[in-house]
Amino acid sequence: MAERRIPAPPGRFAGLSPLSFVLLVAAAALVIASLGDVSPSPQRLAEGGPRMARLVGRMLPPDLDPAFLARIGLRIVETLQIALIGTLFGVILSFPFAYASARGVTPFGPFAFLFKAVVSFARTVPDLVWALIFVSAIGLGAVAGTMTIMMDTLGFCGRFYAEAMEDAEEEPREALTAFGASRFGVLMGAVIPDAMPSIIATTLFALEKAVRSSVVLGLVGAGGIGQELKTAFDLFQYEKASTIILAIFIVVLGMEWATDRLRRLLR
Amino acid sequence: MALDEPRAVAAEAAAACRLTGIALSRGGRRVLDGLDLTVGAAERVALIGPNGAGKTSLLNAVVGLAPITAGRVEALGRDLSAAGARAAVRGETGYVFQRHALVKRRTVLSNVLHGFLHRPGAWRAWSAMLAPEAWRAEAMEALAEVGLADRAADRADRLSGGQAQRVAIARALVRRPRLVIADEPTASLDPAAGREVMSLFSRIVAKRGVALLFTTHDMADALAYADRVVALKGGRIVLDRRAAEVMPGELEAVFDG
Ligand SMILES: Nc1ncnc2c1ncn2[C@@H]1O[C@H](COP(=O)(O)OP(=O)(O)O)[C@@H](O)[C@H]1O
Ligand SMILES: [Mg+2]
Repeated sequence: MAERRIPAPPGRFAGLSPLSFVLLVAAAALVIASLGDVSPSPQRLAEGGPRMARLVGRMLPPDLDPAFLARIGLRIVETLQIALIGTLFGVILSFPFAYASARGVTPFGPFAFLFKAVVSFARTVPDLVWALIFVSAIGLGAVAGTMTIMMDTLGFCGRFYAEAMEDAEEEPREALTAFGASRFGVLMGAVIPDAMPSIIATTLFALEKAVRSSVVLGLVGAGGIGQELKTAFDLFQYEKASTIILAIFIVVLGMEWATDRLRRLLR
Repeated sequence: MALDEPRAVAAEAAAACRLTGIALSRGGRRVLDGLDLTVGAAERVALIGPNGAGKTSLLNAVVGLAPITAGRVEALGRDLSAAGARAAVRGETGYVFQRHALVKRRTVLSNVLHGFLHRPGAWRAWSAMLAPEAWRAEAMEALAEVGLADRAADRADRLSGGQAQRVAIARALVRRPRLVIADEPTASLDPAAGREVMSLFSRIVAKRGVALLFTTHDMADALAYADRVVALKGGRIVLDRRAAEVMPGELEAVFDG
């Protein structure tokens, strides 16, 4: 057998270009500088512990006054209504946007990106910012919250519905086209049925997301339980605040449980 | 209907489709190059040839799914370049694909009803739930013809490959086509299922007296189920014979060299 010379392994840092080395050092410097600026110092942590304990002490026991509980109950219902109706409007709005922006499905050809851009914009603006905008535009209250959830849902469902439509099987689409079906006929006959499981999963997730964000919308005056929480903190009514936090906890957990069940049911 | 037009009637008597000097490019490559082919009104023609010979492109050109760069396509008495001709031709053509191309999550009946998507009021063909009673009855008739009426309520993804292809045939037939195009209808099936599908298919086509243009990789299928065999190679027709007159080994020779 001929003698084989095994080449030496490549150098340890052969894969590391000068540029990536510089970038690594810069990133490390940024993290270290930021640590000093915003992270809690040991001293603040030491002070914060007892303060936190005192706050929790003042939160207990939670206020269980029936009249207060009734008001919280109504606010919870309002919160869920905001989430539900906002998601519903958002879903209704998402379908045309997904249809208009999905590659291979859109009737708008090269202009499809315009619709994609609208959806991206709805998604990248944070929900609290949408809430501030709608509170300024149409006033305090639940309607601003519903509009916020609608925009949030459009940003989320508009994108994932479009992806589900793009991923729908190619062959049935071609078949229906060959049969003389219109683009819309192909969408309704082949694309939507194929994308349906994905669309349903996305919608359930959007609803879950909507409940979670509708809880905090009240902080900026857009209705729901968040408004009560802000008032309680502003007026130092910590026993009321703890009741509200517990209620929120129960609602969000219940929602996740319900959507999980639904998902399993639909599989 | 086309029958009201005297010109259409005259042409129909002559041919289901007539391609004259067609050329066609795909991805910058010339796929078909000055090709002539006529399929008679009740003729069954098998199209054979190596992979990439342009068989699928030719079938697609007949219904205007692949745009031609030169020549003339006439189908069912209409010049395909005329306004509205493409939709009219597709409306009277049944297309069966290599993979059955059913919508998996829909019922067998819904899939057959998709054959009506070219009709006025097409939205009622989106699903079996919306379809008018007459369409549903016609779809059941077509399913019975391929022996699958008892599976109408099943989801399409519960069928075997052969059954799915039979549903695809029913979907094409429910349109009452005058021309049926099939692109390697048995390629995704095992030999036994392929023969079963192909013999059923050609029997129905013969009974209805409509034209059939199909591609296949199986020389035995070409000889058994077609009146005429046409071989395509390098974008041209290299052989065109009545099936009964094909010499042993002649078809296989198309694939050599
Ligand atoms: N959509 C397409 N884009 C680019 N090239 C294509 C496309 N469809 C087919 N072709 C090319 O055209 C040629 C003929 O293809 P096709 O008609 O499918 O042949 P066949 O059905 O005989 O195998 C092949 O070389 C193929 O690579
Ligand atoms: Mg092919």
